[in-house]
Amino acid sequence: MKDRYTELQERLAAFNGASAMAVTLLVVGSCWGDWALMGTILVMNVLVIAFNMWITFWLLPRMGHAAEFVRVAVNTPSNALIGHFAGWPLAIWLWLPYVALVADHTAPRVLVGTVLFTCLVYDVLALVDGVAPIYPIVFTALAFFCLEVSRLRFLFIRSMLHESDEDRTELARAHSQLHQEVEAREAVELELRHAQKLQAVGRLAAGIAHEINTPVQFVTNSVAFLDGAVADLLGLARKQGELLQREPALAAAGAEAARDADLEFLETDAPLAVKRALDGLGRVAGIVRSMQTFASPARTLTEGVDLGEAIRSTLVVAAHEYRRVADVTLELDPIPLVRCNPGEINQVILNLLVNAGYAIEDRVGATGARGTITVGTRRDGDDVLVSVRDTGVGIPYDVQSRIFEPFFTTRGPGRGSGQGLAISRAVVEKHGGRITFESVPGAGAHFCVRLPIAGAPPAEGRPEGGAAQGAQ
Amino acid sequence: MKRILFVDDEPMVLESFRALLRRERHRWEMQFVHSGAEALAAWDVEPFDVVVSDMRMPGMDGATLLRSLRGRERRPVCLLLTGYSEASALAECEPYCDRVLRKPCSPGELLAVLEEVLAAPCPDGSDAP
Repeated sequence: MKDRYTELQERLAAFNGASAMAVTLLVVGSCWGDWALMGTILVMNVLVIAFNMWITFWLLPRMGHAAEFVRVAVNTPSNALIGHFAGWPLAIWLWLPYVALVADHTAPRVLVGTVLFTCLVYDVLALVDGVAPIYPIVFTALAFFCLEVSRLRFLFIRSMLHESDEDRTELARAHSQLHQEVEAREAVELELRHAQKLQAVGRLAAGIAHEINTPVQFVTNSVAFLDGAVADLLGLARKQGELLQREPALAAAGAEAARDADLEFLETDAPLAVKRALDGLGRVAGIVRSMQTFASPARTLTEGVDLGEAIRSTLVVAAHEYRRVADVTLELDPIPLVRCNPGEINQVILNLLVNAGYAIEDRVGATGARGTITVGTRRDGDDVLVSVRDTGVGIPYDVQSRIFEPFFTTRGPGRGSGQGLAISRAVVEKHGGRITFESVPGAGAHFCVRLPIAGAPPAEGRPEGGAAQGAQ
Repeated sequence: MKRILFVDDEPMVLESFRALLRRERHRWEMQFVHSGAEALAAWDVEPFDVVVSDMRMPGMDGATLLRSLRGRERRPVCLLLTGYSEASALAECEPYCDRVLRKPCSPGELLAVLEEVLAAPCPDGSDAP
């Protein structure tokens, strides 16, 4: 507040200077006719003006407020002296109300002292010079009247400034509150959009999995049937071959037919081919099952989620993202079942795995070297910890504070939208947990998700809780 | 001889089961039908010991069929095959059958389950295994 008042004072300084100049001219002009005296008074006033300019431009910036004391201490006797030489013209008395009017009211006590000091010096000197007492009395009274006027002006200005300051503070507060609300809403919307997308993808995946399961079922059955059929046929062929050997007339033809069919090769390789087909089908079934577990449409808090199982199925689903460049090491300590939203937690683990894969890819490039992703679970008191550690490029120090910001990414197009970690953090925090990381650039990163076993504590008016539920 | 009925609207699946279990033809008498209605008609001709049904079928679904069969005088062992793996979908089937098999179920698993339920004491009128 004081700063803005001082600012106002400074803007008034030019006006004050002009008023002082007018009083000075009146004082000099009052000696009209007596040219010698007028010259003396003019010189004295010029000296006073020069001194005041020195105060304003040199001393004030160096000494600050104290310079005003020097000004008063020198101006008052100087002007009183001018009055003495000029024979106390009416104009010289104008300095008294002037001093009172231009006063700076931020230090009221000093101010009253200044006006009192000025009036005293003038009055005493004038009375000593034999001036009629009416002048000192009237102008001293006028000075104090002006002092009161300027004090009231000061109070008025201050209250106006204060009000406008309050308005400004209020406005700033409202603005920052609005800003926060908009940010929170945007975060919720981002999460909501993502949740809806996930839900759609999940539904699609479940549908596709179901569609795939039917052909996998009959192909598996058929191949298993062929397995038996091949064994039976080969057994039959061997038996018939043996029988043919006993009949000399047919033995040669039988042996030739066996050679034509490459029976020996069939005997060794046909069962192997069937075995391969069954293995492949088993793998397809496993992938589909992982996909179903991963994309479980359950978007609500679920009791007893097995995070180890969640990690295994997520690893299968995300295999495409890391298998070319990294090997996975599992360090799964037995942990209790957790109350959480399995779909969302799967998504968090997936994001961390995908990021780890990218980080390793960035480090090994096309060298053919391979990195390691270590996924671990551990219990810590009432929480479980899921950690994903990679031997990738790590996170540069200058972006470490920003990696959880929505849309923040250091990767080019097509390699993530920059929402993964932002959403992961939103999800983990909604579960009453925390997601943290440590990274030495060039040496890899270690992300750790901490989740309470009992699930999130009851929400305390958390907006995102309601919004997420609204998304179901 | 134990009698087993397979119900699935997908002919390929049905044929593949027929082929797969051909080796067991001397132990079990098996019949393969395409719908719940056909299953009930076959049952009326002669009841079965075990019914293996797909869950999702047009017309009468597996759950409805098995529920209707379990109310019969000679209660069969009911197995349900489903392509859905969510806990909620499985739980939904639970009350209508003795066992839920997830599709695709491996031939080994199916055979093991059939052996097991057929070895158990005859379920008619008594508790299912």
